[in-house]
Amino acid sequence: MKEQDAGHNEIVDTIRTKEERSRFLAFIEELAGRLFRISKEDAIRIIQVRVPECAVAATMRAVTDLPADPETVKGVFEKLERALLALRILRVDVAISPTDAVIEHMFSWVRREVGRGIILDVICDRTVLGGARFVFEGRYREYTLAKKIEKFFENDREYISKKFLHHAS
Amino acid sequence: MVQAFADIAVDYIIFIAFFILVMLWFVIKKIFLKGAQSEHTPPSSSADILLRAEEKALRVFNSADARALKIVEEADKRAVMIVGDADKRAAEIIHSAELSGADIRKLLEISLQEVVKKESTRLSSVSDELLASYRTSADKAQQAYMRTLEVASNTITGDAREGMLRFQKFLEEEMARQQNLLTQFIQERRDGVLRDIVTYKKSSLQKIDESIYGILLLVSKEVLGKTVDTETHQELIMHALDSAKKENFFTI
Repeated sequence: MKEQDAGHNEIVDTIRTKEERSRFLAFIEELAGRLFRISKEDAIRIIQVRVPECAVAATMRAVTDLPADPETVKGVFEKLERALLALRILRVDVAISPTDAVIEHMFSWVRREVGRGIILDVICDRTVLGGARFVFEGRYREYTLAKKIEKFFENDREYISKKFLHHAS
Repeated sequence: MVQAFADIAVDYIIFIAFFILVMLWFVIKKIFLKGAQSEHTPPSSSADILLRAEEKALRVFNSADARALKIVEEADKRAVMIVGDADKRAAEIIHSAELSGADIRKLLEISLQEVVKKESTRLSSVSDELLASYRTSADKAQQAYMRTLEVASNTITGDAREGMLRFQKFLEEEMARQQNLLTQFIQERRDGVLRDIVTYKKSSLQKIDESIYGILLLVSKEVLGKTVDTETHQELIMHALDSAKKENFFTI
């Protein structure tokens, strides 16, 4: 049982984003639905196709260590599902479509500086211009270039707005 | 002989009486027809119709009564006169034939008087019957006429009322329909205008956003002193995370 817990903790640790979690939950649902009539080879093939790349290795290991009893496997999946759903989400609005490297960099920072059990929900919003806007546990904070520029021109807002409107028309 | 004259006189009297009755019948019929024709006079209003119908009916029947009475009286007079003439003529015939004796004359006179009396009585009876019949007919006709008028009047009144109600209903329905159409038209126009406004607003905002974004990119470049490339973006994001941590944003 301890081995199984370690396996599913390893999987949970590899999930970095909300999108990866959704894909993994869909994989669990599919596998659980075919649990009593699926071979190990088929399970591996499904893992390779469905599971997010970051979690494939951990999932492979977990599946190899799984007992043959389908009921026990079902229990492990349910536990894994609960653990995934318990992850907290840090929403990050950025001005670019984040590459995997950027996501990995951010996730590593969060894991190191904030702690485990947090995944990212990265949204591309070009109006941010640069930097990031965060939403976490119902709170909001903005460290964007747009905000900095807005503050910079705060005193001449009317003038700038007129310029924008003139440019837009 | 006397009997033969008497029979002739009786036949003559009967013929005359029959002629009078026929004439009387035509007169009465004419009066009734005149009254019946007046029923077809187009009315102006329900109240006027009733009033006029009543007045006309009364006039018609009063006139009919008077005429009938006059006719009957005249018929009686003529009958008496005719019988008298018949008597006179019979006497002349008898006298000219030099066949009259005192007894025969007396018998003839008695016979004629009896005939005259009998026919006068009969004629009077006929006249009475005719009058009674006429009065009954008149009453019936009057009632029928009144009923017809009443029905016609009611029908006209009912028709008028129904027509008014129908017209009122039509007006109300038409007004409601027009109001619905107007409301619908206004609503459609309003929706259309709102749609146009929303589209225009969206388009304008998009233009503004694009302009702002373009200007801000330029400004960003000026502010940062360089173009914001992927590496710079990553630096800015990591810097944002550091700032958030410093401000204890991640501390619950």
